[in-house]
Amino acid sequence: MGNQAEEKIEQYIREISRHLVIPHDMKKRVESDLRTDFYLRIEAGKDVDEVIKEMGDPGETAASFNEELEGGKAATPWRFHKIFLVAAALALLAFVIEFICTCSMMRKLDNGIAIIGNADGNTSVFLAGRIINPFADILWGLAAVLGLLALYYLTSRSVSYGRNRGALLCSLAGTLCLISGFAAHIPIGMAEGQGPYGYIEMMLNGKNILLILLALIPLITLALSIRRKK
Amino acid sequence: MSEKFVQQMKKGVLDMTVLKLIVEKDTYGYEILQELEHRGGEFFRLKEGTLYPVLYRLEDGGHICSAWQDGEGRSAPKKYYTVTDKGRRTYAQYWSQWNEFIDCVKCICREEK
Repeated sequence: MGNQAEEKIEQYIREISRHLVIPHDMKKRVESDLRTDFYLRIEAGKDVDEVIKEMGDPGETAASFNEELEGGKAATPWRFHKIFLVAAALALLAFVIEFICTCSMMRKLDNGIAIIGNADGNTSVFLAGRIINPFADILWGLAAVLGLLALYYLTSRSVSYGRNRGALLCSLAGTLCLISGFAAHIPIGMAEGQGPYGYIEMMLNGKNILLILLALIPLITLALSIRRKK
Repeated sequence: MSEKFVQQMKKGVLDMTVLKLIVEKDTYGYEILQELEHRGGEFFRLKEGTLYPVLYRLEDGGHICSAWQDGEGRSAPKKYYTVTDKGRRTYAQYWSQWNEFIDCVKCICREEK
């Protein structure tokens, strides 16, 4: 079979693929099977144009796949699920910047520079404690990023074909970071004599609430991933 | 012949008929299309867009499994489908339920004597 015939076959399959509204891995599966069937028909003695006529109009073939694979209903539109990927990237950038700023603050602390001039003893200790342990916040930040990635994986897959290994892994890792983040803050509270619960109470204000809410995303996605796997 | 009625009936039995062919022997997509048309006539003249979603559904449900086999000589490799134990049990269930269903439909639709 010549190059021209092979190009015609690939063009036909590409045309079908263009109209498919199904997840990427499913699309590859369909392309592979269509290609195989095409070549088997050629082996049976048919020519390329005959096979194309037999297999049908690319748009109609794709529509049939979309309907049977529920591509039109269950597949998430491009713009919707990519937002979570963008949000995860922005969150990662934000936490990297915070980490750099925090490390810079730590270096200043080492040089004995006061954080807030009129802060009382408790506030200074609180701030120092927060700054001395930036890694706990980074863990929550990572939890938030992994949670957003898990949301991306969950929403980028058709409900019918929910191979959400990516979502499950991100959710598990994110949940571990969330728990580690809480655990990392406890010693600080103990050192300040507040006890672990007292310190957690202090954490639940201002910026921390937003951070903790974001960090809870992996717990939600973990529940969704496990539920879908069933 | 009502096209829509036939389409609806075909949709209902496609899983069972495709599974039956795979229960009989390991086979591949194009061969299934040919066999369905050979044995089912006009009713079962299908295209890839109808058959492959059924195969994907059966495979993802664990009723069949697939493996690529190299073709002889210069022949294209083929993805052969094999029935699993679950698939055999499912087919037996489908066949039993189908026969019960047919009996019920005949009971409802038979002409009054």
